[in-house]
Amino acid sequence: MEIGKKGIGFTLDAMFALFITMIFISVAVYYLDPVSDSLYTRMYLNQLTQDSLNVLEDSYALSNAVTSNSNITLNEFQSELDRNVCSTIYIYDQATILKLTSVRAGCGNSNNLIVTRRSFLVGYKPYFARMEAWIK
Amino acid sequence: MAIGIFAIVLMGVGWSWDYVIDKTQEDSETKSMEILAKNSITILLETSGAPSDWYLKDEEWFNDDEGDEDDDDDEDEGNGLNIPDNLESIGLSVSYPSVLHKDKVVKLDELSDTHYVMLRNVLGLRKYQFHIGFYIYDGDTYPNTPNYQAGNSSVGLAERVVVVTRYATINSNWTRVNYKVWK
Repeated sequence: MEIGKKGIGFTLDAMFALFITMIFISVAVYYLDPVSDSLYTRMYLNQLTQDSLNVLEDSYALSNAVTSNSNITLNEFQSELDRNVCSTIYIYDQATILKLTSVRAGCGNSNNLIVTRRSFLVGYKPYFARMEAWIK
Repeated sequence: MAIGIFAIVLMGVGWSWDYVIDKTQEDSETKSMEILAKNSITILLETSGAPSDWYLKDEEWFNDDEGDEDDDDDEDEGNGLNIPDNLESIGLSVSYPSVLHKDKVVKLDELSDTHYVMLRNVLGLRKYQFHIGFYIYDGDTYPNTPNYQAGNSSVGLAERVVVVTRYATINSNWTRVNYKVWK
């Protein structure tokens, strides 16, 4: 062994401190960022579904879908939503029997979805629409 | 040698710190712009404004931010924001959220040519610019150019832009509303 040569010492406590710091930063970045993004996404989908049902009711698309027993207009509306959004609209009668379903084309299923409900009248009969939305 | 390595590590940590702080501040400003944009578009689309007949007022009414002549209060010398004394908020809905009054949309379009700063202030945007476009569904698709618009459209040079898309109706027609807040 040669004595008197220069070298760099890595002590165990310094390595340990560095390791702990890296883990702490990684965990903080991993948990903080996605939480806020996820919250914004859910707020966006919630707003989108509420707007959609408002618009469909005011434009008589919901009541026309019931009277004509056709989901064409609902499909058309959903096809013009943002590309990254998937959605499905269900219409139930007052006995909660499913009358119509409109699914946006090209979408699969998701467990992470937002649900909005809205009631509307066709003549004097109450119906309600349920819209589910999620990110593709 | 050891001092050199220590200095490099220290500079690296300093650079990382600066980067994280800058990124955090940028994200924070973007988030606050998003909140501001969402709040102001909600007020626009879901309320009818106060007073609700603001769209029937004439030019003179919109220029009145000098305080009430009969008011003896010395402090009432205008609000400094170009907002008319009797205008609390601007809303486009008829009386139902997201059902828009066409005349109000047209008036907003006109006002943005003559009273852009007032609009910006009454929407609570202050230091940010805005542009709002109303795209009415033509039976096949939403058009590329807005049917009605208001605000500052020179968004191309913006340092930061937040876009909020909402849906509403004008005369029962599906309308996509694109609202941009930028600086």
